[in-house]
Amino acid sequence: MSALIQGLLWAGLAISSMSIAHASNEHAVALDKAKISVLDQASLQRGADMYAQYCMGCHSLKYVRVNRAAKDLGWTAEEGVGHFQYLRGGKGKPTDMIETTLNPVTAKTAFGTVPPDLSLEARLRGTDWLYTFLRSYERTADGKVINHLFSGVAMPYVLEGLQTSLPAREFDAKVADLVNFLDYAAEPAKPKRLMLGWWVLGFLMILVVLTYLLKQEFWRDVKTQA
Amino acid sequence: MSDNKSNMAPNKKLDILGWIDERFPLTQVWNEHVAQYYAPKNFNFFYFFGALALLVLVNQLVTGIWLTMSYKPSAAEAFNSIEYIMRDVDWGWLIRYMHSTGASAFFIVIYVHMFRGLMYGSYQKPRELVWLIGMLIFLVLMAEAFMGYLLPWGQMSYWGAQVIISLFGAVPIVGDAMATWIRGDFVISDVTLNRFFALHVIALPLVLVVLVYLHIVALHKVGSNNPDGIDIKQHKNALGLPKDGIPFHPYYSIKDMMGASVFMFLFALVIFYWPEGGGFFLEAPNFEPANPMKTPEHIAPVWYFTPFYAILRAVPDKLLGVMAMGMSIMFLFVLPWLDRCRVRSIRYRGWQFKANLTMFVVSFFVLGYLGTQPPTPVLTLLAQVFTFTYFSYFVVMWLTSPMERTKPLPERVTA
Repeated sequence: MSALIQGLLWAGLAISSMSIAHASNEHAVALDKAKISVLDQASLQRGADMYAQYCMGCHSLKYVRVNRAAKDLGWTAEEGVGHFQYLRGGKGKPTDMIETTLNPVTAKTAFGTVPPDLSLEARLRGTDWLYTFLRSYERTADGKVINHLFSGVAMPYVLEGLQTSLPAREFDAKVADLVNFLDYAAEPAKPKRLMLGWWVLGFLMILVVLTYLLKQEFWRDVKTQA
Repeated sequence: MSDNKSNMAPNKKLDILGWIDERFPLTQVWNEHVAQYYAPKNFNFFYFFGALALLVLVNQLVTGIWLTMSYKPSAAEAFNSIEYIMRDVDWGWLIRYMHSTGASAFFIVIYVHMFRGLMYGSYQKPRELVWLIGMLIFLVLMAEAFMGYLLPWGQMSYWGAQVIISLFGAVPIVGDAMATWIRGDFVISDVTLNRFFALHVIALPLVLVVLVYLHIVALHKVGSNNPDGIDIKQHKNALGLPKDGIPFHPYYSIKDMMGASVFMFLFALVIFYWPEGGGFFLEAPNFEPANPMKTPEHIAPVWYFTPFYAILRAVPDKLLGVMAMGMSIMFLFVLPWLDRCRVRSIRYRGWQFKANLTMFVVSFFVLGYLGTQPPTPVLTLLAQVFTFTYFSYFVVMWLTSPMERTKPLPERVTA
């Protein structure tokens, strides 16, 4: 047991030594916390609809198949196609990937760049970043669009209509739903992972107790002998 | 446990075991390495990590085999195939997380295991070869991890490999040719990915398994050290067995099962609730496919390489930096000959040893942190200071170990 305490002391020493180094390198990028959960299926559904309406025109989710997403979101495959109604110009099938119909060449002329695929954006940038980014657009007095988080961003102020017409809290909630859906899209196994984890940990906890008792039993003669 | 009927003799009965024993020394091997391998009875928390390293090795081998069934080693398909594993292969996400988290777990376990050796003088005579073989395992493990990290073909995979391989370019005259020879191309490309795949899944695991075998054979020849650092063979009972020794099986086999259960609990906790490890186990830029035309803002190797990477960057000259990085590992190899004190354990050694080891651990962690950060003048200065203290460990060890004021050693192991 004393070795365990010793180990913890060493770990404490190590962590404090790292924080000393960290203190000399503090720089602040204030991101708002996206309060979301992939276990909130209603939020994922609203987010998917947001995506179909505001994002899919330009951005693909090339790793996300409609029927798989529909299943995870609690829809039938046909309902899924319905929710992503603009897929393949209205001719989408359940086995299609969620892909935009925007032509890359057109995109290049219109925006100067091809809008990136967003399948993994939530893992690449982080959900807090996305949540902050989508809420950082502003139209200045002279009519120019700026983003406070991402200066010079090529993406237009897509959510302007929503942001100007809705109370801030409702708008934030809609953006949170969208970010939640993107978080799901980046890791479709996440809801399952979060649900299954407790069972695995519970099983292993029982195993820890049993192996501990077994060890105590076997070691009794070593203890008495000493 | 005092009842030690010698069953070293081959099983003569006409059963399956007897049949095998006449043709293969099964009972003998089992007894020599497990049932009658006498280990000191005073092992503590730190002694779990050898067995845990073996467990993680098996985890990596098994999950690795299953990943190979769906992974495609080509520049065009690698990234997609990882997403295929994460999304479409049944339980692929779990196997992949076990493998990626397993890599980090491997290094955590190995670093604690090595630290244990430093603390209790396990590298000292007569265990020099155990230590040397262990250091070779560490080297091969680093190569294995480095090559494995290229396989997902993300931005950090690509640029991390680009930076590290370009280090060979620092070698005078033949450097550039060597870097090209290793890559098989002028940049990291499909060819590099294929050869790294071959080395990662076949060559290096084979070498690792052989070295681990040799590590254990060497250990069982000289016997395990213990937290008191004294020799348990000094006091034997009438049967010629060490009084402070207990058979590995069932005592330590069962104790290690407990350790393994606790480890698996923590491992599962990370896999299910923290698979990215705060960006240290899976780096965020690696969720973007490799793009040879776009350098990421900040390239940092995975956390287990960062102490050595910080040493590399701390030295202003590229060639000298590469040499310093190499030396930082090479010095560990010769540690058994740098430590001239004959007392092994930190429990009975002088204040110099304790202060020196503490400074070494602090240096290792601070360098590890600095290696993850973009260089700034202040941080580079800090890295230089801690590179100095990292190396001073070895120099101070050599200078002070002969004249340390050590405490008297106990006759028998303490509880």
